[in-house]
Amino acid sequence: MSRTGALRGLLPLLPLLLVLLVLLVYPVGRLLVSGLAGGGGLAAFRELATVPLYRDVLLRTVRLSLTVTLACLLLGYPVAYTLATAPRWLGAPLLVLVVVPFWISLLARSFTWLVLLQRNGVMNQLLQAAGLSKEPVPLVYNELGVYVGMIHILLPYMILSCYGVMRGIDPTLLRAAANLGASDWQAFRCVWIPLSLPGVAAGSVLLFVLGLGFFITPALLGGGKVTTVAVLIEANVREALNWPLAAALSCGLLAATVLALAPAFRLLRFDRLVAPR
Amino acid sequence: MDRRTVDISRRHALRLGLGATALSALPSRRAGAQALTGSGEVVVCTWGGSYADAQKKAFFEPFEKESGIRVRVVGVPDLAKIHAMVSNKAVEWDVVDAEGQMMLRLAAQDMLERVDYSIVPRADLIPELATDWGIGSVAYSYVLGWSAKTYATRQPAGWKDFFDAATFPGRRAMYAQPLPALELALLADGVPKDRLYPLDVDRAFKLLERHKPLINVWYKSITQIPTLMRGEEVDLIEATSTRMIELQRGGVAVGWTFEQGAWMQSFWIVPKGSKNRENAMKLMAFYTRPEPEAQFTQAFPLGVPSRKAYALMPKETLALLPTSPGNIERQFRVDSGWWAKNVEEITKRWLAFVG
Repeated sequence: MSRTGALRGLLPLLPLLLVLLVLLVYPVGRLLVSGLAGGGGLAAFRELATVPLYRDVLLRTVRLSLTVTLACLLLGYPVAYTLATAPRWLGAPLLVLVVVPFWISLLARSFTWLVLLQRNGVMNQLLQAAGLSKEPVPLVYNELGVYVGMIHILLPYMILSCYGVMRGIDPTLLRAAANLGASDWQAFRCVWIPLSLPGVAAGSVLLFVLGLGFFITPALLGGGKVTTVAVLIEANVREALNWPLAAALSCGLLAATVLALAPAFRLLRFDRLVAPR
Repeated sequence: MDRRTVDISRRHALRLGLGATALSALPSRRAGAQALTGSGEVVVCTWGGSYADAQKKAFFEPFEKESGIRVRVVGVPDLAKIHAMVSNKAVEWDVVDAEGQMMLRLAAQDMLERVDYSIVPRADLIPELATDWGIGSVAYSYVLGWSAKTYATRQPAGWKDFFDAATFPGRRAMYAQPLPALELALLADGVPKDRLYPLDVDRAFKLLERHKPLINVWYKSITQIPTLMRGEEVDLIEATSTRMIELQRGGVAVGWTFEQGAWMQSFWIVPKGSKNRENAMKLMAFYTRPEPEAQFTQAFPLGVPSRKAYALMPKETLALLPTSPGNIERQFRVDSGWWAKNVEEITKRWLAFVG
């Protein structure tokens, strides 16, 4: 294909690119410029580099997001496998169950978790009734609560991204492997897993990036003790009106995201994985 | 600044008392109030939920009926947004229900319209609440609340008790904001309530740092208070008086006191460059009337700016208002001016403290 032909092929992207340019790139760019211009910017970056709080918060945010991504992978992969291999009459309703949480607002879901996990909440009542614990167990207003909330919100993304790729796996390949003498486990390990990796990679990257920006869930379920970068940015924009620092923090988060993703892209050959041909 | 704060409160209470005797028989439609007329619309930015509902019923709807000016209610007041609107000359809000320090910080940057007292009648307003940049909207208070189940025999009486885990064992929650946590810490440390300002910030943080392990929940939003108390998540809490009253009315076993409460004043402000400035002033003029104010306090027991409104309230309502005589003296008034000057520095320290 000629170069102009390839460019013409990109034309359908134009509407989205325009929308992004006007509604995302321009305002975010302006915030960064207005935040960082005029001397305040350099000072903000220096503060970011020297005050240990910001490094700690950034590291905690990355750790939180990584843990959630891993947990979602462990929980979501088997679900996606079940959905992709189940007969249609069973797979379709199961898929609906996965999607239903998307219909409920994030805030409502976070508050629901507060009610379920609090000291005299349903979970603690169950634990005590089952004799597993005498005292109420602290399930929320700590890091555990944040994990529960974030996993609940992010899990469907992982399931759907794995499911999409798994649906495309040709079942005859598995039969061929069996014909050649592979056990079920071997066929799963040597054929299914490698073919499903694009979904795993896409889901993991998506979850990791989404997790880095989480704000409401850590603020509510963490009981004010789980400060993430997004919480700091919000406080600096809205309360301290310290936009240079907020802009510097955003840049720091962006840099951390890129740094974390760059090796992933190289390692996983992301471009090929997403479009395997 | 230290003494003036309490002086203001005392005078404030006195005037309220005078107002009460002067106005015993009030016609439902005031003879003195001029009917407001106009056209077009006014965009009001206020806080959400039942608070905004009560405002709509008491003020916005009757104002709409009388004046013909359409009221559009949006949420929620946000300093950063007003800042951005005014500096980009794209002001979408005509009148905002702003916290005191929000008003002072915006005024310091020349981002507000002056109140036009040729439209807004000031005669009946509590004088401190008729300022250049805004008129009083509501006065609210952060008070000490507790579970009546946990502390059935002995109740906590002040912030010293709040931080005293030996005498009052239990779980505790505080609002995740330095205002008024710093004041409450200083009170707990023995600073008299008329000598709080200028705040000894180091001393306040030192006490908070020491007692940090006692605080089980730093809540992010006022709406979490009912969840925390109903769910018996905590036994002691820094809460707004209105939320504690709501819990009591809902039959939850809680107690609370105005003693050492932190009351503060909100103001109606008009961002500079408002497209409906005159309509905003007219809405503020309506807000100064005592009858709708008295009606509003039935639903939301908060301080209102007209001295005459207090004479129209039943005793039970007066007992619940942070600014009623008898209540106001037990609390201290948050010095918004001090906060407006220091909040940026303190927010930085606060974030380091909680992070």
